Amino acid sequence: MDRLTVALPKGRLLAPSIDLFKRIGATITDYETKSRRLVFDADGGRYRFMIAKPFDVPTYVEYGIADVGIVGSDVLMEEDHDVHEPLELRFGNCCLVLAAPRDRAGDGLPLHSVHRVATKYPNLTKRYFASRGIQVETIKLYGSVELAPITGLAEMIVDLVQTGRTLEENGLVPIAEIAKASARLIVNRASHKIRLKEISALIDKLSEAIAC
Amino acid sequence: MRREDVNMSDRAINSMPAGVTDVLLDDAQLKSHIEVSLREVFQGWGYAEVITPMFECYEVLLAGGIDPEWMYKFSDPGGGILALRPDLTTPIARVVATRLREAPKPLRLFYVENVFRRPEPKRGKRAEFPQAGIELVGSTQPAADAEVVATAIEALQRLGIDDFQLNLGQIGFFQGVIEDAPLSESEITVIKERLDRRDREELTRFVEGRNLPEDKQRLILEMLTLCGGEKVIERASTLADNETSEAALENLAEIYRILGDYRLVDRVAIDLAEVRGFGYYTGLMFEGFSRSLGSSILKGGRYDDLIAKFGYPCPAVGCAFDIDRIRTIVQKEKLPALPGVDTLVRFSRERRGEAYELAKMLRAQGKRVEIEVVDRREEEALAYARQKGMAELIVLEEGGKRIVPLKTSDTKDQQR
Repeated sequence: MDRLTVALPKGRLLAPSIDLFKRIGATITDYETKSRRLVFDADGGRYRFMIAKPFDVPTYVEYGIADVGIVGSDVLMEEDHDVHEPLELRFGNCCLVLAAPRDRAGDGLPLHSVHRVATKYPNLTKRYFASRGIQVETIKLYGSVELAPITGLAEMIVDLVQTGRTLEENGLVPIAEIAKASARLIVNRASHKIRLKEISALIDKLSEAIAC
Repeated sequence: MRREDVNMSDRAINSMPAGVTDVLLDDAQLKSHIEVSLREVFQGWGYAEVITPMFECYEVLLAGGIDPEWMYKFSDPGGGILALRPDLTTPIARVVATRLREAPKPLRLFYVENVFRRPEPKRGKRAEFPQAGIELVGSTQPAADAEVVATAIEALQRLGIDDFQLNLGQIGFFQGVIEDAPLSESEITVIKERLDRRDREELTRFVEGRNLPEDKQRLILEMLTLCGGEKVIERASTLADNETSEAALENLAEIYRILGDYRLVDRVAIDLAEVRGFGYYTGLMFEGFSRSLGSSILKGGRYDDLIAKFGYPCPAVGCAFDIDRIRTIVQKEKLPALPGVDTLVRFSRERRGEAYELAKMLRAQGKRVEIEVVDRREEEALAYARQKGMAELIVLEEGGKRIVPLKTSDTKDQQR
């Protein structure tokens, strides 16, 4: 059987993703998970895993370099990729929220003046505010978004929140929930069609594993 | 700004518009080779070439139902709006309805042309790309649909592509599913989007949130599983709940049967969940994939209502090959070496005329010959000829004619 290439996201979703594949019976040795390699074979060559930044996982899948991938739905909401999204994986649950410093939170959502919102998700942010008829200037940042209101770059941020501790520790509180997010399985369109049996079998196994 | 200040080499002269590319030398040769191969297959099946203009009236392209977002538009001096053609099927529909109305049917037409689509900036999609395709006009018979599929299969095999699969769908099945469901246009669009992404959970949530009868809900969700082999058609028949869907399945089953007679069904899969495609498809819809590539290499289908838009109701079915994508996978397969330049002829001044006659004679024999037009020493010429993979250097000099072979048939000798 041909090898299936799986793109996994670096960061907080990596460990649960590898764990999920272990649960469906893939032999992934500790050596492979502890090494710094970005590409490795597992389960006797049945899978090739590649580890990419979350925002890059859908790119590898869309181009067919990876047949399938795991990525947070926040990434899929931010950028449009032509991939299949057949399964929610029920881990990595978090929330995209609009947050502001505690002392400004009482104002609620700004209705009149132009405000600056810093975020890793500018498209999503623009869509959210547009849908509420509120004008904001979106500032794209690549990380540590909480820094923006602390230093005065922006009055508010749109960020991914899991436990809420990072926000709290930086004096920020959520003012609105924009969307829920969780890990998703994505599949390259062509692979899904030309390798339908294998990929359907994989989806079924994953589906069973997450139901437990 | 003074003229000397404009340093072209730094800027404009090296830049290209987004989405276009040069195809050079070997790549161009490979592209040509693919096009010649496709032409031969098309002609073998009785198709004749049509060549339409690169740009058309905007209204004509709109009549074909093409998304205006995709089109490069510009205005003509008279103020009319023109657009670069984003596909060939619509212009050919115009041609059939006007210039070829009286031509004997069925009409078999093929094209090998570039199409133009405004690329999405961030994705680097192609603004211009070559397509080759066929249109079989004037028959509603499943045999016509099957012919187009069979021609596509043969065309790929002729190119040495073996790891491909054609997925057949039928838009009529889905149209039947939603036609008697209380759904608005926008709700149908959402369902199509969810189906397109094979997003079972979102589709389920959406469908359960509408006021749909239970079995209709189940049918819509079942669509996600209607992919696979021949059995899919049988299973879909048990699920189909109205005549439109049943007729669509009958049609697809018949096309499949004919392909069975042609012994081509091992290349074909059924995919009723595929609802994306040009708005003008009315029946069969199919896409071709190769294991070597993450995107489709050909698309086609039946479009019985399009030519009518130009005043001449006429059924048609066709498909288009993406030559760029095919070129990517053909490169990966083992291909016989494409011909290069065979010979370089050098000469002393007084033998120039003979050199010309010699080259002419060799060319008449089918060889590719270069005549030296640069002043250089023989070693340099030999290095040049070797780099270009030539077989020989011929020198016409005062003392006579020398032939220097550059490749020996037994390469082991060379290594010794």
